[in-house]
Amino acid sequence: MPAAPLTLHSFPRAILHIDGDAFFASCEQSRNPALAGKPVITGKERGIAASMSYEAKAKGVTRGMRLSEIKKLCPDAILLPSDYETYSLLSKRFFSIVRRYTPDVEEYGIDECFADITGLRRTYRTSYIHIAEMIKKDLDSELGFTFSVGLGPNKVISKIGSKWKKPSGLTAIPGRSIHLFLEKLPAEKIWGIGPATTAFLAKFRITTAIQFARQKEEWIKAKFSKPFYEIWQELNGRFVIQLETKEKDSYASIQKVKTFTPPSNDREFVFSQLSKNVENACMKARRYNLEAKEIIFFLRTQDFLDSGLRIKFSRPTSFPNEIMAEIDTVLNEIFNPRCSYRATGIWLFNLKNCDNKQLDIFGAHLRIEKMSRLFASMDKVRLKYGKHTLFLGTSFMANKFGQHLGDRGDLPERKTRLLPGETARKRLGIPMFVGEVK
Amino acid sequence: MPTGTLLKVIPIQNLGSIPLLGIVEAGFPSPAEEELIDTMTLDEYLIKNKEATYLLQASGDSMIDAGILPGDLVLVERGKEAKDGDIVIAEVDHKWTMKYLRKRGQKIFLQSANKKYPPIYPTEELKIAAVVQAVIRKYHK
Repeated sequence: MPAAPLTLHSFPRAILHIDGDAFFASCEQSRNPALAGKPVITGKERGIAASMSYEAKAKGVTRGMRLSEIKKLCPDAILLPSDYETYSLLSKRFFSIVRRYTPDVEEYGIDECFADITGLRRTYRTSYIHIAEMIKKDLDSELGFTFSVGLGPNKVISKIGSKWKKPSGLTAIPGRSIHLFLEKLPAEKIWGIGPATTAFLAKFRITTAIQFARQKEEWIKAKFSKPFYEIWQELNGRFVIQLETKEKDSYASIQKVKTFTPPSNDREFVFSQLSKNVENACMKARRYNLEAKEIIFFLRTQDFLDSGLRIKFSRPTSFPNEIMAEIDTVLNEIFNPRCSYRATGIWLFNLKNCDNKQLDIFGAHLRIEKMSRLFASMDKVRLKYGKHTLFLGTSFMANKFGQHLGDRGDLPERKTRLLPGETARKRLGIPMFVGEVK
Repeated sequence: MPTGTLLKVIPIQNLGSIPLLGIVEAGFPSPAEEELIDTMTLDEYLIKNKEATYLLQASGDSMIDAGILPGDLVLVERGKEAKDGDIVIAEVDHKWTMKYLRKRGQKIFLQSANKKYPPIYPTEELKIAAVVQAVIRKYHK
């Protein structure tokens, strides 16, 4: 007797999960035909693999692998520095293309999104699967590389669909077919279920997704917290987890952390690195009309030991020169010239809106109201690429040299090949094909 | 003299929106205002499909008779069907090449705009990446 489906409805809602195949590596391959079919790996400036093409994956290269290991495993691998500017431009285009079809798009990272296409069958006069095909076709042809798409009645199922066949896959999982897919899926592969939960499930002899899904609802509610109950519901075809479609319009905190190579024990150099981070963070704050009342800045040594200071100001600010002037007076509390430093970081928080603020030339001098030392180690924050044309004198030294000297200091071609009128810090916001044109 | 507030209303590319001509200051009509509202920016003029438009810097002299000099900036569009006579970016020998696309019945080949270079007859299927939309040359930085 065939197994019973988990739900009888096909697509009470129609949710797509769209995932770029080897996104960064694909961005590189799509604009340089010399890289097609080759094992391409990005992340050279970090010393580890960030993204790898399918050819590199086939050779066994995995995310986070050190460059030295990669060279052993795959000697003909092409290692490239990350070109976040281009990746961001292409990512924005990815979301814009999906938004042509529906406004309900949740951006989930730089290379993934969810899209709600419920109710669009009438508009396009075709099936949900065909709408998914149209979106995929637009993405593949306009961006020049492939995406994998999953169609399901909710987010969890659509994510199973997009991962089912990669690269360039399109997998539709209607409600009445969910059980057929879950039968072939180990429990740990479900989105949201990590090693701890997998081990917990194993204690009840639950090792496959279908076993988890077929448990009684009361038992799930009793044994698991809300997030896992929601996952269970979605595995059973219900739409529970909403799409967060609102674009980010405010920030709880703004962080800028950057590593530099080689490490340094020179106060001026470390100060200039910190200054660059503060400038970038302030630019972001000003873009959203925010000011910070408190900051944390920290220095990280070559041994990965962090020391920081938390400062509360007399008034909110988003101007880097004021902040750096205050940091200069207290930097020696944590700076030790006998230490070798590898990174600096800044957090702006307690952010206040400053829309209607009058700029007061005779405004009060910024003062430190409260200060405390921090000993806990900071989390490493995602690196972001900064763009600006002017920089403070204090960050001059940081900008004079590349962020990393040596092998890790390779810049992406886009940064070195400037067009007339472009500078190293300001360029046209249109992705460029690279390589010689015959 | 009655005074009014001047409001400029710019039509946006929205489905179903009706472009307004603008509200004019009460008292003295301003014909210049009306004329300015239907203008497009240089971006809009050069780029039709924003998500599919890319840049390329020309090198080599294979298209100089078409007015494309080495160093020129070329705006190209992916995903467009290329027609006979279009200047295209094609993939030949793992490199980009910019040439005229020629279709003579079943025969498809690439042609230069420079007597020095013979036409290219592809042995395998020709991979056309994009169609050239515009050439940009700046004389000052």
